[in-house]
Amino acid sequence: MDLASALAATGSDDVSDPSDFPENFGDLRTLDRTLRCPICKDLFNAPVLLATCGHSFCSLCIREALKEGEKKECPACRIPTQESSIKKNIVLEESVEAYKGARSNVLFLANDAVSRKRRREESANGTDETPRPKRMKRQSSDHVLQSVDEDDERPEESEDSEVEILDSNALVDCPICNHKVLVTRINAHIDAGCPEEQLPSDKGKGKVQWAKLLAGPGGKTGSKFGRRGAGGDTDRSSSPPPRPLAKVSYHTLSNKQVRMLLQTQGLAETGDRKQWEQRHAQWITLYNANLDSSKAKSTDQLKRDLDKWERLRARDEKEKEARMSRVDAKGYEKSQNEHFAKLIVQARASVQGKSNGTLVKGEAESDKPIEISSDVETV
Amino acid sequence: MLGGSKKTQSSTALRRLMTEYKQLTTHGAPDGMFTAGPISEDNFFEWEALIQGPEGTPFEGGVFLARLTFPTDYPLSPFKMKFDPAIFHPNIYPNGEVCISILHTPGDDPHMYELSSERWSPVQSIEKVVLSVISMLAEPNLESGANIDCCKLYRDDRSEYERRVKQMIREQLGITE
Ligand SMILES: [Zn+2]
Ligand SMILES: [Zn+2]
Ligand SMILES: [Zn+2]
Repeated sequence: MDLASALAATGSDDVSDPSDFPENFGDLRTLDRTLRCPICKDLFNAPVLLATCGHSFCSLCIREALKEGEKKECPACRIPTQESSIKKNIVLEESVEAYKGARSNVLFLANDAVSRKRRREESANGTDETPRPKRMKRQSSDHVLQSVDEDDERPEESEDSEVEILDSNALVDCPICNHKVLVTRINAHIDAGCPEEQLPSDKGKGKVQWAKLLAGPGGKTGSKFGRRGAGGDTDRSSSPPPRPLAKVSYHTLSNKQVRMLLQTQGLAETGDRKQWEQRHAQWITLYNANLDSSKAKSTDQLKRDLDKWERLRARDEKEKEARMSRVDAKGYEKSQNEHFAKLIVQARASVQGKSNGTLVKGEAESDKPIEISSDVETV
Repeated sequence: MLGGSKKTQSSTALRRLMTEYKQLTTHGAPDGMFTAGPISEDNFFEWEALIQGPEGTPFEGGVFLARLTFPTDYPLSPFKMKFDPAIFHPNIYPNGEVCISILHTPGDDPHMYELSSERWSPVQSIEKVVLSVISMLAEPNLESGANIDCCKLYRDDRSEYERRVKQMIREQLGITE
């Protein structure tokens, strides 16, 4: 499957998920998972929480979800709720924004540690048989995900001059006393109640990478938050925060009244009554979600978002009809026939009492379907 | 490339589907019980799942193919799941469509008994649904019958039901004796 081109087509950031982190960094996977919206599975965007139960979502995601259907309930725990229970989750937004800045560096450190460890093991064993796992990399030049061999993307000098995070000389901050401690000593140090530590004279190495990490990409994270604290927030506190728009039950309104609603918001009056209502309802959703974001968009930008939503929706409707009638037989045959044939061979074997009939684990991971050639007929 | 359909697909749904696909291909399903992915790269909204019959049930040894069709407002609305070829099972319609509460929204209520706690919600996922369907294969729910004849057989003559299921599996695998 060509994830890369599909992704390029969304025109947005790459698809990330907790499994980007190596398996033995379970804590980082957990951290990554907790900072994701359970609806869109992306890192939170303008997170809000439901005062009725405490679960958090992107503002837009939960507003869209509560718009559907008559029953209003938390999608995670199904406790009844309503739009008025949506509250900004300020600390979560700050955490997520900081994490977004740090993520690529954390990821680099983790992957780097793994590949160095592997290389050490390989050179110790004197074999180089293990295939290197491919991983997704986003190329900043053309915004396309590519599967690259890890060694190809690492700059030459990193071999010696950069930090090994698993290096026994690396320093970490003790979470208890905040002093620098050798990574190899940290557990013993905490167990011993934080005694003073002897540090090696050459403590530059570990610091370089962690300093980069703390500064975020190009050192921007720090300044971004500084700016926001100094500028944006004070601006906002000087004038009362804008109020969310109230929902409307359109069925009690005349056509004229619905047009009035559109006019009040400065929205187009094109299309039929159904489109007016959908346009107005979506405007309320976008507008209210925008109030929950610390990086609020301008009204003009929001109107462009609304236009885009309407265009997409119109095309979706058309596409839906088209899809109903079309059977995608070609792609189906191409991608699944061989795979399916192989499973059938296995299943036959198992039904007929031979023992190796289980699905091969990790089947889906291989890029190429397994060749079966003529086995199917001969079984 | 997505080609012509590129502009038409809702990007939220597409991103969410790609995330789920990536997770399924990275981790694989628990115990390798199923695999799932888009049928063709032209359309991320049509998936196929290959499901192993659960062990210790008459479905053991079978491999079943199901088509998953996603709405453009996924995950707000659930997807549809249809076995192709159809499976002989109390909760699967003779045309292969799966009838299971996790694929029904709280609003849409074909069976009044269904608890809303078992219904679709946008935090559900393809993996959770397919695992629910696998456990449904093992334990049919007679209250939400979709194949009436099969329900009766399951209730009144369990060994004949099991024989029919096993026969169906052999036929689907092309084993004739
Ligand atoms: Zn979200
Ligand atoms: Zn909740
Ligand atoms: Zn300490």
